[in-house]
Amino acid sequence: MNMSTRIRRRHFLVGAGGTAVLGASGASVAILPAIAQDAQGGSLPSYADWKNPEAMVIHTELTLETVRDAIGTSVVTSNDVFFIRNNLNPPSEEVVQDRDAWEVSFEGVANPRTMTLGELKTLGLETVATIIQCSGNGRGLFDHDASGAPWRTGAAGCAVWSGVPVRAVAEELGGSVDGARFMTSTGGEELPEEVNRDEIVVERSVPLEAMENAILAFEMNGAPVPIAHGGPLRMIVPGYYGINNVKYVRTVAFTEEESTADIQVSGYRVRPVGESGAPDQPSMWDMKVKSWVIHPLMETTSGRVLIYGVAFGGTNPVERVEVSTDGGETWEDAEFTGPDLGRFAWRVFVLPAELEPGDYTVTSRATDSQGNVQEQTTEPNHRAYDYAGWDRLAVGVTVV
Amino acid sequence: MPYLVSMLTARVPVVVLALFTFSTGAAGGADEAMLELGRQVFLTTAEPPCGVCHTLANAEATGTIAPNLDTMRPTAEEVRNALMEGPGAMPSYADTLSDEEIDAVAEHVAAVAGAE
Ligand code: HEC
Repeated sequence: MNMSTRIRRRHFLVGAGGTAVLGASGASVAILPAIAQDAQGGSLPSYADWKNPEAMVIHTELTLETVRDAIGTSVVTSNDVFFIRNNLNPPSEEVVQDRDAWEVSFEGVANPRTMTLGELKTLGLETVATIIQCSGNGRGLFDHDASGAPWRTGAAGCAVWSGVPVRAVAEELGGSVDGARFMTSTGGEELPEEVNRDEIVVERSVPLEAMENAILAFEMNGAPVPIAHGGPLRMIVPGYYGINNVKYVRTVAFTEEESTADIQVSGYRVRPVGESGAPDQPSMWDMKVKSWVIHPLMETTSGRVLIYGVAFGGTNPVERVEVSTDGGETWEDAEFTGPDLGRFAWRVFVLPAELEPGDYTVTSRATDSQGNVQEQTTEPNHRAYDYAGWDRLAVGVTVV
Repeated sequence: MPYLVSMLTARVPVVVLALFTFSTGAAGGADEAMLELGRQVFLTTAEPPCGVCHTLANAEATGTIAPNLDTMRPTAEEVRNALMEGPGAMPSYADTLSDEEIDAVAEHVAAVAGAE
């Protein structure tokens, strides 16, 4: 298995080199042919051995990407193809043997205390559909060689989560303390004692207002949250990048200051290439407007072709999607299909087109309710976070 | 043979490294002195030491919080990038190890990971 894992990773990098020419800007840009992202098959890590291997690109045992078209068209991404990004190795099966016994401590409230999941479940119930998207989604579309998984589109999925509203818990415990400006969640991984906690702990602070929509989720798409996705209990902060949705959540604190963990202070900060991370740079919090086509990819037959994909606005509803088949020279409005699961979920869009044989550069451009338009290109940032530009999210399609 | 290597490791590292260099054809450009330096960096110089978080059989490291390096079998380049950057929750060593030490530990890990 070792050898094959290695070979696969190399193949993946080799496959990422395809280029095509975009019309609109006249610039030659890299477009990643969908074929470079065929599933790599086999060798799923044991904690995720129930995933569909055909649908997953295995970057490392902590980073498993969903193949571009495997997210499907029914809005919700099924658990067996949902991407995985764990910052640390997941805990053992023991944590889900008695899910209701899982304990969470609440701090920064009038009456701080520890509650079991069983107890929490008596306080309230809420269901929310939200996208989970890794901060690094699209890293593989940047030219600079940033470390971390070279995700393309597949470090994102949309799921329906059920759980306990954080505001109900805060209310039960007498409300958050005066001066609290952040909600800080800590993962329950057992950390090695030899290491300074801040260097390794998965702990994230988000602005306090995110609490309004946040839930402590115990169910994902109708199933108890799998360990691979943060079960028994995961903090879900709708509209926020994956890292803020802390898995195996052990502590929730309402704090005046942001966490002192490295992944808050210097990690997940957007900055120019070559610069170190620092607290004064923007943190990976709420997501930006983005869309991409999932069909057709590669090759299709001439005549009537349905072009479809997904679009979202982060914390704003997505209002419009345009599709181009000529690399952004001309655009046509697509229609949304399927149910609107709320502003944090993505919408599936479709545009019927009549395509003659030839080569096409197919891409999409979303606009949210605030008028924010998906960017044409994403400027490089040091850690290669969230490539949302429609230029490189385009696919080269040959119509025969 | 691999078992023998690990038995010997603690006492006569230089001999063992010679064996390794011989048997695996070792990584290009990395000589024995460099690999030995890399081994020292892995075990002690790096702060915190790699084995606190990672498993690497050759170093008798059994950390479980981070990916198992024997299964991962990273290239020297991948190790170098990881140490410079500190991906995700891994600490960066860019400020605490010299370039020479980083190169050495990268070559060392690439040479021994998964080899047993
Ligand atoms: C405090 C714990 C910790 C220590 C100490 C540590 N690492 Fe890591 N390391 C991690 C974690 C966590 C990851 C997973 C990073 C990720 O996927 O986000 C990782 C990832 C890696 C990777 C894989 C990077 C990739 O391409 O995915 C390599 C190689 C690596 N470490 C080597 C080392 C070496 C060599 C040392 C010692 C110089 C070391 N690590 C010390 C926690 C640690």
